Amino acid sequence: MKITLACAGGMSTGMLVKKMEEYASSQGIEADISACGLSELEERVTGSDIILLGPQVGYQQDDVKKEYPDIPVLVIEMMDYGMMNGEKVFKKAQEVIAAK
Amino acid sequence: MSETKKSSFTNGLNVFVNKFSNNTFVKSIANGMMMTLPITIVGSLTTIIGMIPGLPEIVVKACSLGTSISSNLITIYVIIGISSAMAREKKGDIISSIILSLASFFVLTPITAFDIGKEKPAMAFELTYLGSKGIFVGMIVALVVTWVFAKMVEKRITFRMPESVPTAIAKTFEAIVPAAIIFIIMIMISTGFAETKFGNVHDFIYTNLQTPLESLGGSIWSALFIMFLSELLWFFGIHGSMVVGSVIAVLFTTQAYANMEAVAAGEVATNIINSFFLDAFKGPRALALAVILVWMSRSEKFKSIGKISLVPSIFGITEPMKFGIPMIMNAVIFIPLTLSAAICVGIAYIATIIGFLPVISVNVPKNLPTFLSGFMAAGWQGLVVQLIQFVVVLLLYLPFMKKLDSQGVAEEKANLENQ
Repeated sequence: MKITLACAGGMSTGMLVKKMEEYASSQGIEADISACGLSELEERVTGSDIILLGPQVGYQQDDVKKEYPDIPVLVIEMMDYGMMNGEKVFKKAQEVIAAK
Repeated sequence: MSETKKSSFTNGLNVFVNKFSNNTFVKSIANGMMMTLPITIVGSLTTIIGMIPGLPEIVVKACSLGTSISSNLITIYVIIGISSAMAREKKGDIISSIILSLASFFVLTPITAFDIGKEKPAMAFELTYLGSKGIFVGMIVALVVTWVFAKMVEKRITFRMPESVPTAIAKTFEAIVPAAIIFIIMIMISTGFAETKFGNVHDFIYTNLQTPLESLGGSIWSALFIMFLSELLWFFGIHGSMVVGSVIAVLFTTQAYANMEAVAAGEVATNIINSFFLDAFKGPRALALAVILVWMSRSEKFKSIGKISLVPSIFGITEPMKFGIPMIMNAVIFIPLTLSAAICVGIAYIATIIGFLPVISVNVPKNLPTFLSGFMAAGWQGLVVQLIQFVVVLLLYLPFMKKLDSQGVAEEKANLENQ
């Protein structure tokens, strides 16, 4: 499973990646989770099962969807993002990937 | 405001911001300018080293060379950055676009003959046109040339190669016709301008576009307004500094490079308001807020957000606090959120006018830890200014955060009783 997160510079999503990885490994799930800035998304996104956007760049959701019509694009909930709730965000991503 | 009104306003704002920041030209300026960061930061490092008193002459000379190569040729780097960003946007050929943009720029730049006392005069480009004075022509040329080039290739205004020709070779040939058309048009423009009173494109753009824009960018009021605007966008949950990044690049960067050039030439930098200044003295707002959360709030929720945010906040990362508190669409926090950056810039500006803070001519890497960034940009005075900003922001946020905190405590108490 490959999850790609994107925000402005990939820094705050980078923090969330760590929390998501912690949760995934505590559950014994193997997942390739990484973060990048929106402008690098093109190089990073290949093979991703889902793209998660930080809420601060949520306004770009429609364009990202248009760019990658085959990959589900989800904007992370503000509260989950603020509290860096890796478990909840990971579970949501899992749900969307499973429903694909 | 009613719920529906509020959300339709936010949606409208989202659509507008999306349109603006996804505009190919705006995006290419922002991404292209970002690509020039490494060289300007390295150039700034040599500036900082060169400022150390008591250095041997040879080290001072070496440092000045480093600074001048990064600032006096900045337009060349900007062209390469913007042209490749635009080519990536338009899915054009990157190297061809860069070469064509550079060639077009040089065609538009006057070559001067200098009499150096030998039989032949030396022919040379003047550094002024390749440094801060050429940035606008460089930006425009890189954007327009790369865009037109990509469009022409897309519309197949080109030689049609037979199928049997290998793609790599065909691609080179396909570039010839559009490149020739663009190049010839540029030559015509350059020759045409030589006949006008301006003499060349540079002086025309400089008088009619760059000077007015620079005076706008040089004003403290436009700087304060942009700071406010950037935070106002955050209030609506939009990454403000990312959106206004290209506006800042257009309004405030030429002054920054002019300062660098001045320092490299051993002169005094004079442009107080510039992009380096704004980057370094937007204020340690994230850290101030995190300190309030960790040490001055009683609500469990705020304390835990503070703990998550404290270390990242030293590097200027604010997202957990912005979305955790939340500060987005939170009327209580509106005033400190939207005003603190502008107030910080105001403080630094006043500190410069009274002669305490030197004029900033150094580009400090973004996300360098708070206080270190102030020190790097302006020595101990920079550190002091950031400390003052820190205290002011802390005091500004405190009453509003106190209010939110007591609300938070009340909620937590109510939740506990309900269980």
